[in-house]
Amino acid sequence: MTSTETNVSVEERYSVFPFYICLDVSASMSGPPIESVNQQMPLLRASVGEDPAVAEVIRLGIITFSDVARSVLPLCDLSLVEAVPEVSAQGRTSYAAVFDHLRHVIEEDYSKSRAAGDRWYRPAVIFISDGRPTDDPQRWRSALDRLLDPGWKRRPNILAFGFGEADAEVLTTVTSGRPNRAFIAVEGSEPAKVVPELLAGLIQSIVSSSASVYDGAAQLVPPDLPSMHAIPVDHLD
Amino acid sequence: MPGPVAAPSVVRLEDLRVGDLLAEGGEGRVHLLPRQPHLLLKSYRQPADRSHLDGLVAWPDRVTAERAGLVRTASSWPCSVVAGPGGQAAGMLMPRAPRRFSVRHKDGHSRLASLSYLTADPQHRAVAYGLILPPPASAERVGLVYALARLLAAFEAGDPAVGHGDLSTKNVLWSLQRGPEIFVIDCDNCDLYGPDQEVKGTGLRRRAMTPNWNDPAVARGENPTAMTDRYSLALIFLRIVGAANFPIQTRQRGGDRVEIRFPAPAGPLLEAGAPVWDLCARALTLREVGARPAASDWLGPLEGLLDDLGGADLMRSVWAAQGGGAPSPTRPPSGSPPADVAIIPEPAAHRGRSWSRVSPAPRFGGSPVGAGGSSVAAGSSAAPGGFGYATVALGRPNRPHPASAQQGAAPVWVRPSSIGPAGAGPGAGPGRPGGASAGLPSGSSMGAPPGGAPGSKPPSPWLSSGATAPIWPEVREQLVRFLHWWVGLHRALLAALAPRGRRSGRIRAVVFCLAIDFMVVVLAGAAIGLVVSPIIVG
Repeated sequence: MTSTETNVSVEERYSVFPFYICLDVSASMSGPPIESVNQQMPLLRASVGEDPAVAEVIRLGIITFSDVARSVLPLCDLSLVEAVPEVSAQGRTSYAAVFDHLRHVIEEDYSKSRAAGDRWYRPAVIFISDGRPTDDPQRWRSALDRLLDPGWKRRPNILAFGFGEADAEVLTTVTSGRPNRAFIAVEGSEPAKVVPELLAGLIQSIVSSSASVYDGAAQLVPPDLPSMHAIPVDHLD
Repeated sequence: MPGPVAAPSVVRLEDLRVGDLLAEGGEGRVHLLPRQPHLLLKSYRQPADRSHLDGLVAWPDRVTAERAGLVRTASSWPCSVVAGPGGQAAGMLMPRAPRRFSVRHKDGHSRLASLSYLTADPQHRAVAYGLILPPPASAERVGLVYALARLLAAFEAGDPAVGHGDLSTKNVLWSLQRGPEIFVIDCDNCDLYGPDQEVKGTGLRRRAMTPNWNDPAVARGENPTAMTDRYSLALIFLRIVGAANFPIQTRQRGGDRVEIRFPAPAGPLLEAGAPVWDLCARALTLREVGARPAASDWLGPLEGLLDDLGGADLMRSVWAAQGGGAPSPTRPPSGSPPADVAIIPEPAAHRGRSWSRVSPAPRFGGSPVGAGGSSVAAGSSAAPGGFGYATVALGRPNRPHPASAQQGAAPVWVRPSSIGPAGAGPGAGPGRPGGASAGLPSGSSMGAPPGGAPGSKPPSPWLSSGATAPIWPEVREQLVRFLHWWVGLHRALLAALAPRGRRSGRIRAVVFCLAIDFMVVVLAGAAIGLVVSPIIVG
């Protein structure tokens, strides 16, 4: 039965599961939606960061985008974060900026993590937008193609969430045309209600995904929705 | 020491005053009981096997008083079956984890003290949560395993014997406040085993095991066996004493021979022939599962190890907390060590990693470009009213997924928990991967004090929070306070010594003050030199 011999040392850790939360902070988010985000983010830290078993295997980064995209929280172990930064809304909605930024930071974060000895599962991008892109469709589509390029080993799995003026077709495109990876709030929903619900679902999703890492077969567990299935996640190496 | 919990073996659901929801899991809900703050109610979604629960509640009456006391002290053993209107088992009552089985993070919230705090480099836990935990291979860590081994020895000594089956991070709570103590929860899922190690009762209940804490000898989808806790004890020894993950199960399932490199400081654990290493290897084997050492086999070697590590007082404190207490024999190992597992102690080296806090900038926003905003969009046609999320169906971009249209007003997403930030934990809903640990979701405030809790002892140094906070601001504040006091004192002195308006008098007073200050400094220096330094040097 014994096929090979393996050493298990004290330095051996679980592979980590990176999550990038990409948050639209264009002007349309100002007011209750952005206030709601700022109220909920500490809960994310409390649920993910303060649970040592979850924090051990989850790495989380927060990227905001409007005219430009910024890493407001660099990819990190949430238990080591002093506080999740507050965000404020202004500007337009450039999808190209965030897709280009993602491609860049994922590659950079991956190199850093490898140098520190961490192995990665395929990263997950949680894309949250309340509007349509205001930049040139050709531009953001080609940026998206670069992010999801099958030839790029670190290409992420994307789950997209829309509310307010978000367009279902656009969101489906963002999830590379895959059904069941894009979600849209029911029309007429108040952002002040939708955003907390969304973030609560995300916390659940991240926590459940962390349990699957321990199971040895990591899955991106989406929020609890009908017709949703966990997405198996492979190792990057 | 808490005595046996006085509660009748069966209570009627309608007689209970049910309090707030504390936690929710796949099996049911856990509620507070305002009239019995030391107890919790677990109510099941589906009526449970009544005879099984009756058997568990009656179990302590069938063992010696000493063992019953130990089980009631160190576990959340079911004390009453809660009968529904038709007599079915609608739930059970169990003791609540005492306050000391929680840790206070530096955010001020208390959380259940799960084993995960102990399975990583203590430096990380200090930086992340402000917890000062004992170093790897310390007597405190061995003491916790010893306390667990004593509970499991009591479990297996009963007739029928008890198997917990899921001794995972969230089900084994720990405390070092009064000495090493453990508190095992989720005990209504325990199985009872006959002398032939066959499970009693129907055995049809599905018992999930927590990923990463499971016994690889149990095939996926199967229930744990009477030998499962023996595996768990060895795994917990490695992880808690080694302060590391040692993820071995996947490899073991793959049929690999596993060699565990255990970093040990100079001392008893560095000896490859130490009895605990033999026990670990035999308990972790997948070859001769039936020959895994019993928990009682661990007691003697763990006592010997505690002695060697200078932890004899910790051993006695475990005896005092759990009752009983007499040295146990160490049996010589029988047979040859297993072929598929080996533990190789090696000199502990400095761990390769260090951790620091991440401090992002306080506030971020979009760039200050005009209003912009989104263009008008159709959005999705949707179920009327309320809110919720619909999956976007391919090809029908403006319609919600048919299945989700029924969701209507019901919020589709389940909140992790409604018990506040401290309680929002991975208590996943039914059928979700996070729900594997049945019943008591982690992170719940189970360990939080019951209302009007009895006075607790001052916290032990191991659990003080914020000990890693920089002390410089405090020192500076003290210095500033001292300066204010000093200036105030001299002003008062000058006012008393020098009559107003006479310059020569004021100068004399200043000189007088300075002279006194000089003498105080000289005397203080002499005192430090003569009295304090010999103490420090000595």
